[in-house]
Amino acid sequence: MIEFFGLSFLNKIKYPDSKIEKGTLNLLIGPSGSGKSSLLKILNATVDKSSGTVKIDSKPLESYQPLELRKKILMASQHVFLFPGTIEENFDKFYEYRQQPPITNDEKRKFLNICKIDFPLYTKVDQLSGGEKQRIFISICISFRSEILFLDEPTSGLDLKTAESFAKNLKDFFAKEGMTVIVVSHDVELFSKYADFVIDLGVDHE
Amino acid sequence: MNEQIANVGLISFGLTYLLLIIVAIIMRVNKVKHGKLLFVASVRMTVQLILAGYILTYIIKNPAWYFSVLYIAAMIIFATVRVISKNKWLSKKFKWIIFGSIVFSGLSILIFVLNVTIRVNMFNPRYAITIGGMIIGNTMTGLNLALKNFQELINDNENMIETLINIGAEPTKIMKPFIDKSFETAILPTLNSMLGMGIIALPGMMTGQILSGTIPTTAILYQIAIMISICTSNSIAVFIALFVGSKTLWNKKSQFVFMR
Repeated sequence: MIEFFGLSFLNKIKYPDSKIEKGTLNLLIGPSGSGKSSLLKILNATVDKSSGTVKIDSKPLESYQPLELRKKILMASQHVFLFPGTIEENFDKFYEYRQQPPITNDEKRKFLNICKIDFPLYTKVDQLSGGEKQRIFISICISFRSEILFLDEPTSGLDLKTAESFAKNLKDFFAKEGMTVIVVSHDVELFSKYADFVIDLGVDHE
Repeated sequence: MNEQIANVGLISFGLTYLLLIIVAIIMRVNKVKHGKLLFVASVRMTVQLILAGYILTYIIKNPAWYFSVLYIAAMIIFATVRVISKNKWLSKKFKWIIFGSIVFSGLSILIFVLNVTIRVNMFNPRYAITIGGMIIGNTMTGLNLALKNFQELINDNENMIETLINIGAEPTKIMKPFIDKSFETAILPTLNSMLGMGIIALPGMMTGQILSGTIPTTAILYQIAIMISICTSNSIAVFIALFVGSKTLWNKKSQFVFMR
């Protein structure tokens, strides 16, 4: 569970007090500049809040060791980064950086399927489109099965049909794994179908 | 064996400066707008070397240990200032680490060469200052190359760094490829110059010794010892600066605090 109250960033953005229940899918919306990405960065301790309290599983954010926290709360940013090389190599590289043993190729394929990617594992990622790269990146991120996952604009480069089945697959996967997820998306219509809660930063704003 | 070197007369020496006119013309033809720099550099070189010439003459005639110490301290400070002024992005802490890396690598290698290789009184200014200058000067060049490359790599790979932070990678692990690459960039010129040494170029120190009457077989021994010293001092300084320095780009919360 994630709770925050009296939270502000750079003394400018004030966030509405919220409680995010374990195992729920939450859609975070708000106009540009309302601090959606910043909220996620505060919650995974990559930037500091200016005031307020954040609790993760009833423990204050500060009591977590930052690297442990970022393994528990994984953020898939919208600025996708993949290493030069094949899809398979990318999985292995990210696992190495996270200091986890690599997963099998079958498992990799399973996660790629969830994200609607059906290229063979030996495909070089620089041949792929922006939307494809993004979904490969998300496949890798979800494969870590972190307790909490932040997805920043996961469907930004996708056509309606792919976005639709991608979102559904994600929802099914999260439900099965009991993951707590916050999705930032402009695609309100699509994700409000699947989201359990909507956090709107557009209302309680200075 | 020390036959006197042909003395350079003042007037004939002055004629050498005319060669710079050729440089100026070529620069103008190629629209290189560094005419002022060429002038300033020539004047500074002349003034600095005249000063060095007189100071060294005095010191070598009156070889006191504190001259060596002072001169080397001055060289270390100037080298540090040069590196820092060429890399304005460095934080205060990082600057001190660079200073420390030059002090540690430069001094330890210099002391080793003077005591183990050449076996002279290590405070003898004739050896300490000249060899110290070569080691510290080259270490400075190596650091400059390394830091410039390091900063460029970090700027170019901001997205990679941010992504790896978000997936919970350790800062040391994230920095490692950039440190490795910058180390390589800094050390390659020294290794390449070793490759060509004696065939493509007679190095400056050896040339100087031969000109002043040292037999070439002795001159090469010095040259080899110096090249190895430079290479080692370079490696140590660059490694310390990058490895320890890169930690200053992170705070205790494993947040990346590097400012461009």
